[in-house]
Amino acid sequence: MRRIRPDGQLTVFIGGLHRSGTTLLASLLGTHPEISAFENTGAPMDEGEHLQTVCPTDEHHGGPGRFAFTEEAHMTEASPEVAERLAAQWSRYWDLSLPVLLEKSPPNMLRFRFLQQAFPHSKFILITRHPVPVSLSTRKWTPALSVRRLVEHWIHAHDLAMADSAFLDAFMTVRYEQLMKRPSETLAEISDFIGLAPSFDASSVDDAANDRYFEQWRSSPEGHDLHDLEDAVNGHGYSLAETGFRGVTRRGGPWDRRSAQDAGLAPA
Amino acid sequence: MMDGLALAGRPIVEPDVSFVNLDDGDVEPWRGELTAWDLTVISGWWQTARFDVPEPVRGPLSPEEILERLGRSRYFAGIPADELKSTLAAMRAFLFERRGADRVLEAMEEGADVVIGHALGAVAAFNAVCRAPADALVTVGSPLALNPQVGPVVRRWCNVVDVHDTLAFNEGLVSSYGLVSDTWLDCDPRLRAPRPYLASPEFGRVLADVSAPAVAPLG
Repeated sequence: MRRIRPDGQLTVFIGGLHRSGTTLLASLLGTHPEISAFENTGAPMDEGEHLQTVCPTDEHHGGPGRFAFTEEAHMTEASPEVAERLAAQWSRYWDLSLPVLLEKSPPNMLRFRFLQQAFPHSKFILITRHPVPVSLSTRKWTPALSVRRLVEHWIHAHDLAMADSAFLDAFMTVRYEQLMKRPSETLAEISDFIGLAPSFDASSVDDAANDRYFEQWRSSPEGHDLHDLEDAVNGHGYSLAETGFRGVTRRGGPWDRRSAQDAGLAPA
Repeated sequence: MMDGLALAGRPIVEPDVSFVNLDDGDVEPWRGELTAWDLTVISGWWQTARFDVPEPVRGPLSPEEILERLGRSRYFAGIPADELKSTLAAMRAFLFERRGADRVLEAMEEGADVVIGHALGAVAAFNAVCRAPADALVTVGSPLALNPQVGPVVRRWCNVVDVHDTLAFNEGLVSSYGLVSDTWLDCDPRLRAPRPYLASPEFGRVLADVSAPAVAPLG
């Protein structure tokens, strides 16, 4: 059986909450001639988590909007035997003649440390998106969850991922909003991070997707009780107040208005 | 399950659930030869499996070649051929040796109104309810049609089955068992994930109906 060469190929792992743009980013990176991404595998969204039987999938931990609250979803250690099985199973779907192998699954955001141990020659990309569109769009799958609970899940998942990032040798955060607003520049930054010349097709980007959710958020009575979550959201560079939702007040944190304006998150 | 209730428009209540994971051990390594029953099942899977990208097939395929391709079907996506063989062995154990029933019975000891089982778990749930009657049984994506038996004693038995459920051979149970109602849906099921079923409005309606207390006649 063909196998990934531990010393030769670079593996790039994308993680991020459902509805954060993981699939979009993976499909954009997959247009690069030197990157092998999973395609036509039969698995939902061609996600690597569904193309192996070694690790649980996010659905085993409650699925979108819930999985990060399950302790077992946060994986940090990998045994050599597990690493070998994972590499063998994913090698069935990669084009091993290419220098960069890409795998995307939302729960990777809580498994980057585990994956670094299993694939020592690897780099990690966390894609983040404003909690309002993430929560509102996730809710179509999880109607039993409140928006508050989904925002709390967003905060918890990103807290864990950012804490884990300190242990990673090669880690990059991509904001969905910046990818939408400046796809060529953002993809050039990712190319630089991966170590490839930029050669992506970004023609499929729809930069109005967030606006629709913000409008829905503004017109919804829900969220009036989210003041207490603002600081935690600020800590990840977003603001509930800056969506224009009345009644939520920004209370500091590393929220940068200029960056937000550049990314289209705040009014100019 | 709560998402299924919500999508069905029924009251969202957090159910009091005992959870039995019959898939929590390592997959047993495959040993031995495929049996005639295994070959029949593989043939059935091949006839019912759904693929996103049809691969051209030239000439007859060996069971090994079929299993390799089934690992690229929507239902079995990602499962290596050897693990599909282990799945066959597990099916035989659940269907003919009643594997898993004892663990379901343990979970039922403190009282259970509704017993729900998915895939091979549905076989274990069926066998448990045959030994210790419950109020209602819900089987989901069940391969019980492969070994028809005498049905359990329950007030209601509902079977939820997807039109593309490969493990269930795309078959309901009413023609094999009689006293069961089949509910059909299209939820893109997968062997390793019960969520597409459980978070569906069809399942939510079934759950709400079987959970409701029997209505006493007026008078």
